Amino acid sequence: MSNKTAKTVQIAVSRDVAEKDLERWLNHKRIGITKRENMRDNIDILVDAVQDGQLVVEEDCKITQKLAFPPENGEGDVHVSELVYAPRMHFSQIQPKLKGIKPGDTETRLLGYAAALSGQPIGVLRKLDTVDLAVLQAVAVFFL
Amino acid sequence: MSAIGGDIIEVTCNHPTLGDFTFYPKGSEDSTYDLGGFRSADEANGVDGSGAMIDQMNRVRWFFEVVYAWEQTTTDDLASMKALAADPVPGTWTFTHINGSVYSGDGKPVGDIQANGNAGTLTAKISGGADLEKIV
Repeated sequence: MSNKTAKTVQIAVSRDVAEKDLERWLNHKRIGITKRENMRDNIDILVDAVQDGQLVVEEDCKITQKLAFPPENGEGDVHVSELVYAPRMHFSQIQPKLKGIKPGDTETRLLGYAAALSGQPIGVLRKLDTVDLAVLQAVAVFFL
Repeated sequence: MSAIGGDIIEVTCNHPTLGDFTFYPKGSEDSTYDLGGFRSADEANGVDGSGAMIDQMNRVRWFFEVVYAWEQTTTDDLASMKALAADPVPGTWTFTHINGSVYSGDGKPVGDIQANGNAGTLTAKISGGADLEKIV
């Protein structure tokens, strides 16, 4: 196994630390016990991502997602290598991103929420790899 | 791959103090990109006695221009453009084309910012220093 490959499978923090970090974020957002139970699958995705170093819960409860596959601009240059999600958001901030998105189009709506949370245009988020998109969606559903 | 033209579907601005803004251009409108950088002056007399070219190279700002829809109900795009123009600190702008490309640069609205109440449109030119770059 090459060093590069070995580096990608290293654990960034222990499971215990990852769970505590995420719990701090959930507490900050005042997510109740019932909702946590209902969203167990999404919480597990986020804890896995923290444990793998893909997500970092900052002191101010912003979440930084380090993209596993940053989108390139066609010339091999990377301009967006991470996304920083605000911990809370008013609907008035999200509303402009939802214009023209059909109510049943859940995937695009989640992109709209993530665009508002991260300050990135939807056009950039559409170019994300599915590995990164899965983590983005797991974050965004907590704002629905 | 063939060139794909069409609409600009989203314009965003992230400003360090004023917040985040989203503007939606009007459909079927022309858009103008200028990436900035250096331009050589187009001077017919830019030549010396030996016939060698006198190349006057000057840096120009990047700019992007399109006609926007003027949203007045949930947000006020005209007031937002005015506020962004009035602030001395530039914001980070992105321009998303229907073909999926996204260009970005640091800048602000320059020149006239005018809205047409009948057509429901807004015209503004965004410009800034450094370069307008394709980010995806």
